[in-house]
Parts: sequence; C-alpha cells; structure tokens
Amino acid sequence: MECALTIDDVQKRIVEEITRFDEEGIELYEYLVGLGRDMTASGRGLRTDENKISGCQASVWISARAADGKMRYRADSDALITKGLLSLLLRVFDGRSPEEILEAELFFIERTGLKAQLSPVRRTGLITMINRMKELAEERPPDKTL
Amino acid sequence: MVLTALAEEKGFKMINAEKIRLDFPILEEKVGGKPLVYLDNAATTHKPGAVLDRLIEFYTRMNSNVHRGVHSLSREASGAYEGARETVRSFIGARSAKEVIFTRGTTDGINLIADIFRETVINAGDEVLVTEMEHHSNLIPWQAACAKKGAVLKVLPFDGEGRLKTDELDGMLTDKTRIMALSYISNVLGTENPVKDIVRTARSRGVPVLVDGAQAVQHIKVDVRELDCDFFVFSGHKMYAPTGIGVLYGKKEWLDRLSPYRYGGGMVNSVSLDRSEYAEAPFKFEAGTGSLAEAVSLAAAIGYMDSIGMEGIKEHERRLSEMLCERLAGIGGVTVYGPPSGRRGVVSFNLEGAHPYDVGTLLDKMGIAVRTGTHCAEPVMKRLGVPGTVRASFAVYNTEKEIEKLAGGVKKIRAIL
Repeated sequence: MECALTIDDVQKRIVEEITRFDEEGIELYEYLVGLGRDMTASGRGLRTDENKISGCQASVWISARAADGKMRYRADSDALITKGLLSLLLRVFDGRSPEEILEAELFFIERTGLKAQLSPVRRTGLITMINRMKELAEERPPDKTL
Repeated sequence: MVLTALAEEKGFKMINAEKIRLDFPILEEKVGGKPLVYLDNAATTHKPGAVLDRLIEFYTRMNSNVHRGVHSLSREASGAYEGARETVRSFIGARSAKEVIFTRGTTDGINLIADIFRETVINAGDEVLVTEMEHHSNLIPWQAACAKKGAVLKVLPFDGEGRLKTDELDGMLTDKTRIMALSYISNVLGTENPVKDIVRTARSRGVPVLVDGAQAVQHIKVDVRELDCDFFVFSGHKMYAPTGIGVLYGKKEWLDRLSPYRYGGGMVNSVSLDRSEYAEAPFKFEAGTGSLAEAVSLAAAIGYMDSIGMEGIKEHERRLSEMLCERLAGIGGVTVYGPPSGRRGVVSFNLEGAHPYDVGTLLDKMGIAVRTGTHCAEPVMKRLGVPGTVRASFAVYNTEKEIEKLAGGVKKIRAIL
C-alpha cells in the first residue's frame, strides 16, 4: 500500500499518527491493541519453535522469505500489544529490499515516545524483534513456494 | 470501629495503612504523573525510613569490618552485626544465634545447602523431593545437584485448588530420599503449605526438610522450632530490608556436621600452609566480608514489623486479598488461581482471552504496578496451562483504595481487550 514511499516516509507517517496520543495515557496502547487485533491471521506454519524468538515475555514468531528481491515477512504474537508493535514493524519492513532493511534506522520508536513508554523488558523484546527481522534480511531465505 | 474492637479482642492492633504509608518515602513518588499503586511486593517490598536510616547510620557512624579489628569502630560494627543475628534468631524462634547464617538471599541460602548436600550427602541413585509449586530458586539447585550426582529428583504435585497432594507424600519418601525442599507459601498461588505436618512426616522417615520462607516471613509469624524443619531460608528485601541480605537457619546438629562450601577469611580458627581449622557455625559458612550494613538494616526491618505486629499484618493482608478476589469475581471473565481460602500475600489471575502481558502493560499505564509472566515458576504455569498470570501481591502499606483502583483498572482493560 505504501510501496511508493521509502522506509523513512513510512516512518514519518507513523510518527504523525502516533504523536497525537497523550504520552502519559493509555490511548497509544489501545491503538496498539487495535492494530494487533486488525492484523490478518498469520496462516499455518508460522507458530513453530524455529520461528519463535526469545527475549520477549509474550511469545513472538517471525518468518520471512525473499521473493523478487523483496523481503516478505510474517509475524505473530499471543499478546495483542506485541502484535500491534509487530504490525508497525511489518508496515516499515515488509515488501522492502534486504538492502533497504539493513540500512534502515528505525527513528519512529525514538520520535514517538514509544521507546520511553515501553517497559525495559518490552523494549528488549522490541529490539530483539527488529534484530531478527534484520537478520532475516541478511539471510534472504529462499522462497520455498517458487 | 467494630473491626478495631474485634482486633483488640483477638489481641492485635488493626493496621492503619494510610498512616503506615507515611513511613515509606518512595510511596510519595508518582509514576507517569499518577500516584504509585505498588502491588508487586512479592518481587520486592519498599523500605521504611527506619530501615533506610539504619543503613545510612551504619556507614556514617560505625562502618568498619566485623570480627577483625580491636578498634572501637570495629567493635561497634561487630556488636551491631551480631546484634542483628540475635534479632533474627528471636524473629524466627531459633534456639541459638549460632543457627543463623547470613546469606545474600533465599537463592544463596538454597544454593549453599544444595552445594553442600551435593558434595557430601547425595550419591548416585539417591532421591531429592521437591514440590510442583516451587520457585525456580528452590528447583534448579536441586535439579543441578541431582544431575551432577546421578540422583533422582522427585516432585510432589499440587491439586486443582493449588494445594499440595500431601496424601501422596508418604509414598514419595523412600529410604533413598536425602532431603525434601518446599516453599512455605507459593509465590504464584499464595497457598500456605501445611509445612509442620509435612516436616513431621518427612522427619519420621529420617528425611531432613528445607523450607523456602521467602514468601512467608513478611506475612505470617514463623517459628522454626514449632515447624521443626532442618533448614529455613528467606530474603531481607521481600520483608522491608535492603537487597543483598538473607538468612539461612539450620539446626545446630546439621550445621556442626556439614562442611563449609566456600573458603576464605573469617571462617577459620587457625591456618597453616598445609591445613586450616574451621570456625564453628555460623562463621564457617560466612567466608569473606558479609553484607554488614544490610544485615544491621534487616534487624531494623524486623523491629519495624514487630512494632506493627505480625498478627495485624496478616489480618490486613488477608482482608486485601479477599477483597480483591471478590472484586475480580464481580468483573466476570476473570480466573483466579490458587486455593479459595487461606491465600497469603498474592492473588494471581488472568482475564479471559487476554494475554497477561497486555493486562500488565495496560495496568502499568494506569500507574498500577503488578507482576506479569511466569513468576520464576514455569512448571506451575505449565500445570495451570497458561503462558503466565497477572499477580498482585500485598504489603502492609497497601490500602483498600488501591485494591479498588486495581479492580477498576482490570474492568477497564476487559473492555479494551
């Protein structure tokens, strides 16, 4: 949907969307819950031990395949707020080239106060999720469906 | 008024939590602009001014190493340190202060006994008995000891209400059982285990018992002689004292028999280049400089709790716990884990269809601190069939108003999730 935009353009949009929430309130979290709920079903085969990433209190699964020079990610969590965060990460990374992903600086977390508002434990989880997505961009797992 | 009269009749003071809160400087802090509602006391409690003052006083008035120097400061510090040991002795009802070993905390105390037992008591084919509701701290040291010696770790299960299946205990004790280790109060379920009966059964079969009192000493009066347990461990930081200090109580006959597990200064009577003669307990288990200021402050925490009265604390926390269970039941769609009655200190629950981490994160945004996750008790979660729980845990300074806030928060979150 936002493929005509760069990763930074998408991040700027996210910043605009999120900065309307009161930093001290729970509205941002209600928004994340909503994003998590709206995320399409992850489909079969994602929730495997191989795709599970550690470092999060909630379970998180991320997989990816490289097709036509683009990374296609799938992600899921059993917690809605975490799913909402994954939804934002997918919006930034999904459909981008591995090079773009590896070079990307994720400023939207800093600029939205998402970082400040998230607990250190969750922040560890968020960083772990981003690192895993970047690792996958480096690995460029082949598209098994081709 | 009626409650106060009832309490007086029962011989204890009713607690005025609002007044007690004034003793705890941190409770004036705001979180995200909101007053702090701290319900994560099973993880660690806050410290009253009396404890903080004592900590500062140690360093400003008597700081020096203990049992070493003949100078005045060292004498004063040693007096305060050994005085703290005597305060602990009296607090847990031990026969002698020689049975009180200062440790870094519950985990440290359990590891001390597990290490010594592994080296000198447990052999291949022997058995160690724990329960299904143990905190990892009272499970992993025994797992590791058994793995190293080729011994078998046996586990006494709990039932659907979160109570130990004590009817299975006798059958699980064999002539190969070298020790049983169990918690007094579960850190997840709040179950108060019938430790006295369990100890009687185990000891009648010649099996020594280690009791993990980390979630007990701050909530109920403990008497190790009445329990008749062989070892009893707890942490200072969960009972209003600083971190880095804990206690291992051991019966004199055990402490005399067991060899030290760490070596160094302060644990010897005489040393030559080829051999050393160890001091008697407790010193032979206290190699190196201990947490002196923290031990002295632990005594101040005990003094603080005594000034309030354990019966009053127990009654206050019972009321908070029952009130929360009632409010949660009223919300609907909330599962509360643990025994329906006799719960101590903690209430663990989940909201139907909601991940505990989502609930905990939203509560945090409302200024309410609870713990979410597995509470270092993954086997308990597995047994309950949940990824984790939300756990509210109480201290003497918690108020009914805070319980209402938590219940109100959960109700709001139910609408969001």
